[in-house]
Amino acid sequence: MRVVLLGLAWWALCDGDPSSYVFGVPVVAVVATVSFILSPPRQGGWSLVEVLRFALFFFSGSVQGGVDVARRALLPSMPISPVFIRYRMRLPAGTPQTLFRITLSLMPGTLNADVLGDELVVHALVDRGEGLHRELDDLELRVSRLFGLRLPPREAAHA
Amino acid sequence: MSLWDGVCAVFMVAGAFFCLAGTVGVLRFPDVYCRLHALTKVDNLGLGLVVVGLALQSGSWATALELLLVWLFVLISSAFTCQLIARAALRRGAAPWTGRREP
Repeated sequence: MRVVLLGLAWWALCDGDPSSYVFGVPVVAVVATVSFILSPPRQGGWSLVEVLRFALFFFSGSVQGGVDVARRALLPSMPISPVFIRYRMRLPAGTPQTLFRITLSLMPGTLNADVLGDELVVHALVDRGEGLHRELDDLELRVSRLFGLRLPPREAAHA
Repeated sequence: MSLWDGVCAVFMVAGAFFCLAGTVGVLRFPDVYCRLHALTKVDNLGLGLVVVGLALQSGSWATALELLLVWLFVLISSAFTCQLIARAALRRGAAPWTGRREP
């Protein structure tokens, strides 16, 4: 799978010029080897349906995010009420948390500012109180589904 | 100019509009954290639209894919840079603006 993706990337970079394959095939082989050494494949693999579903969600979310912030920036009244909130992540450390933080920064109104262990410091452009936590919960759930993980239930202290 | 060119132009003009809106946000928003919102979200959307317009115009699958890769990498790097800047600002104690402006 990775070899196919790398091959596609090379093909795109060289505009599909066949004469570049003399150089491209070794490069793809080396990069694939390094990539497998740096991050060994996970068990289970990806589900195409989940990947597409997440991509679609991410796409519509980032369009909404862009439109929302653009509108607030351009309106003469500039309706913003920024606030910092803390959010305890239930995803395991590593790639799932990283993906969660990247997508979170592109979703409407939230931005990842700092990580303290499992706790995220999130800056929100608009204070929507409980709604913000619900959105983050939803995003975390979607990321966990993408990795085929189950989130542990949230402790009562954080409910 | 064909209809196709028109569609591409619409995408690119929309992209340019969002880039402009992002810049307005950087200038108007009150503190570094809010400005980051404008830089990451709005400019990514603007770049995405420009990329779509250019990819449709390129007439080659390879070039279109190349453009999409460019967008993807800018997306990832801007999300990371934004987080690094926000963290640096927090740790240096840059005070967040805590006002509230109603619509």
